[in-house]
Amino acid sequence: MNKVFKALSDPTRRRVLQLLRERPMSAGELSDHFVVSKPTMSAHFAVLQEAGLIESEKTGRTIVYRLVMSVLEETLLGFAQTFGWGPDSERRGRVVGGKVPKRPVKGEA
Amino acid sequence: MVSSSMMFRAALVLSAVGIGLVLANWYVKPDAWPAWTAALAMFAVMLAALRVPRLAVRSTMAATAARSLDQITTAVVFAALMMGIPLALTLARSYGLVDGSDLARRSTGVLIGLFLAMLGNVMPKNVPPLSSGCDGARQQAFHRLAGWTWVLCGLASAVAWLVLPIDLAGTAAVVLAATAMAVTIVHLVRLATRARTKPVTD
Repeated sequence: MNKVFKALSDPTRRRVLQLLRERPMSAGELSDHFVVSKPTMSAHFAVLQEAGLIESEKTGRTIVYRLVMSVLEETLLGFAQTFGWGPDSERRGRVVGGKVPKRPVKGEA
Repeated sequence: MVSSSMMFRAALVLSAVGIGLVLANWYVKPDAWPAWTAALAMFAVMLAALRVPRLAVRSTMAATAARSLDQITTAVVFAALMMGIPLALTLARSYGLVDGSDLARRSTGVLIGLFLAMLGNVMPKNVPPLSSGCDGARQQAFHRLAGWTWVLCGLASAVAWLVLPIDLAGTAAVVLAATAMAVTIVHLVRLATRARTKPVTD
C-alpha cells in the first residue's frame, strides 16, 4: 500500500492516471501532455507500474500503458486529487491545461 | 496488503476451525446430521480448491497463475468465514451463550455483502490484454463501471443486513444484487453490440 501512496503523492503521476482513465495511451501520447523530459516520464511510469496502478504492453515499437486501478485505489486517487497529498502538493496550482511545469533545476534562474 | 502466504495460512486455519465447529455442532445436535455432513463436504471441497491448483502450477508460477491462486485463496477465506460464523453462532446458541435467531443470518448477509464489494473492487484490475484485439477504452470503461457497481451494491447490501429488519434486509439484498447484475449485463451487451458493429477501417 505504501507504493500506492507514494505513486499518488505526485501531481504528474496523478495526471497520468487521469489521462489513462479515458483510454489506454502510448508513452509518447502521454508524454505530449507534459513538459518534463522523457527519462523523467519513464521514471514516473515505472513508479506507477511498481505500485500496480498501470500496466504496459508492447505493440510493435510502441509501449501502450493502461489503467489497472481497483475501486479503492481510484477512490484514493480522488482523495489525493481533492486534498493534494504529498510533498509536491504546492505544485498543483501550477498545473495548467494539463501541463505540469518542469521542476526548477539547481543553479537555474 | 496481506501477503499471499498469510492468506493461504488464514484459509487453512479458518477451514480447520470450520471443520472443528461442524464436529462440535454434530456432537450437540446429532439429529441434524445431513446438514453437518453437507458442511463437512463443503470444507473438504474448499481444502481441495486450495491444494489442487497449487500442485498443478508448482514450479512455473507465472504472474497470471499467481494472481488466480490468490483469488482462489481469498474466496476460500471468505467462504470459510461465511460458513464458520453461522456455525459458531449456532453452537453458541445451543449452549445458551447467544440470544436471537437472526444473528447467524445477519452475519452471513453482511459477509456476503462485503465479499461482493471485494470482488467489485478488483474487477477493474482484471482487464483482458490489449493484444486480444478488444477495444481497450471500452473494455476499461466496462470493467470500471462493473467494479463500482458491485462495490456499491455489496456495501449497501452489508449495511442493509446490519440496520434493516431481517425480512426487509433479505429483500433489499436481493433487489440490490439483481440491480447490479442488470446494470452489468446491460453494459456487457452494449459492449458486445458496439464491438460487432465497429466499422472496418482499411
